[in-house]
Amino acid sequence: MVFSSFVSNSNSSFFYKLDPRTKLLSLAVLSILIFHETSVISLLFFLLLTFLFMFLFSISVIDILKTIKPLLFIFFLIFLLRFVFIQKEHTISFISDNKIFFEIFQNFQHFEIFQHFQIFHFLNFENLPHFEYGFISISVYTFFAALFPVLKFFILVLLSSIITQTTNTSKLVLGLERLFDYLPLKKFNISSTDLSLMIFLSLSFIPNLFNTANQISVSAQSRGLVIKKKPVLYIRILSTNLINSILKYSYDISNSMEGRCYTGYGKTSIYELNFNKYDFLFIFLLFLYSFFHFFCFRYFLI
Amino acid sequence: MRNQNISNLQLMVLSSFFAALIAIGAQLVIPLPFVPITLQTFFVLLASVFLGGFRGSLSIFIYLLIGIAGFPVFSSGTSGLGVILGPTGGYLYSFLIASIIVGVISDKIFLKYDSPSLKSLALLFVACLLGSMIILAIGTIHLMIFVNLSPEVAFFSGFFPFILGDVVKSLAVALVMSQIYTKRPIQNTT
Repeated sequence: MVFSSFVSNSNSSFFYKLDPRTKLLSLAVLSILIFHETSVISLLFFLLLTFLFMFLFSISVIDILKTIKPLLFIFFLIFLLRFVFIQKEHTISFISDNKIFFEIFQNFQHFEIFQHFQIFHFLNFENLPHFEYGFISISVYTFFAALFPVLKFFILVLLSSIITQTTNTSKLVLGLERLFDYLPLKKFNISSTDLSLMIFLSLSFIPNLFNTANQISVSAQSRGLVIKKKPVLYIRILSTNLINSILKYSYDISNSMEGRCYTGYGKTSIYELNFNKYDFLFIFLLFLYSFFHFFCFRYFLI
Repeated sequence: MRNQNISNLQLMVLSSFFAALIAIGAQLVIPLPFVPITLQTFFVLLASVFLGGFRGSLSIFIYLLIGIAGFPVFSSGTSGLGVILGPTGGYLYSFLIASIIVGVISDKIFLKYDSPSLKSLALLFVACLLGSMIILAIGTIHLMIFVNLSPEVAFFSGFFPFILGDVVKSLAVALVMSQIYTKRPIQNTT
């Protein structure tokens, strides 16, 4: 079952011991940095750094890549969309993220060392073989242009997988809860404890409700319902029964919570989160790197 | 009459259960002709209509948080902030915007009509259809920007194939609400 595929590994290396808030904040910063990335060189550089990081802190690359497996179809679809349907005029008008293949060489020409390689001057879109028919346009340029969003998405997912694979889930949810303390949730008459409780409640009832949904579906089919022929009726049967069961569950659970005097405030946790010197060091290094990455790649190199 | 005896705490628990239903909906596939659909958007719309603007959007917020925390609750068992910021992420965070709009509209519909009637259900259907279109539009715009596609290609790859499925889902929401209209919770203010 897909819901049981989440496993977090335990390891004694430095990165595993970091506070989950540090990891979540660094993930947010790096994701935004990658999301706004416009050059393929900096993406490749970043990918190289990530793999180096994983190697240094003994994070299993195979485990991380396994989590990316379900996304292979989306990677392929995005690649195909971009590869086949990108228009020649369109690629020229959106120069910003097309620093894929040619601009690498064009930028190298700024350096003295590459001044001799005049061959790069002859590389442009017009000289390469390409096929165009209506909406469809295929060439070497579009191939490299198609790799760019795939690479970007791959790095985004890779970063998230590293965080989730190296952190205990309970600690991660606790980290989220502590981060929500800084949000003005009181305005909405809700506390961060409520939010984390809701997350845990959902998680614990996902398998139950999934089984209930399967049972409803099987029993409806055994009574002669063909889902393909009557999809609306199937959805109606499934959801009406599911909602009836969650109304019953919610009544029971809220009653038992009220019986235990649940207030939503002052909840304690089995884990305690503390920022230590490594967290501060990591955040400092992260911001230093982000600054370097943003300015060097955007305004100097590329 | 309507279910008035629901406490604030039960509403909170219900919101978390709807988050679980949305997660389950992403795994339930219905083989429609041309494009198979999942029940994820259906449960998003149902949560907004059944729980109202605030509680509905809260359950979607919880669903997104579970996904961000690393549980494989997004479609095809994916998770993480990377998926939300990735090319198909627009279809996820747009749930929140759509649920607020659909929830507010349905709150007004439920205030006006005490019992299920053809007019109230038709209005709910239109509200859900509007919500689906908002989800598709934001998702397609995000896809277009991320992959750098032309608007025509983005429309035909990210919007057009899902219209039929969304009409079916909106219709299903209206039909389901006709059965559970009176069970819709209203917060007990006393």
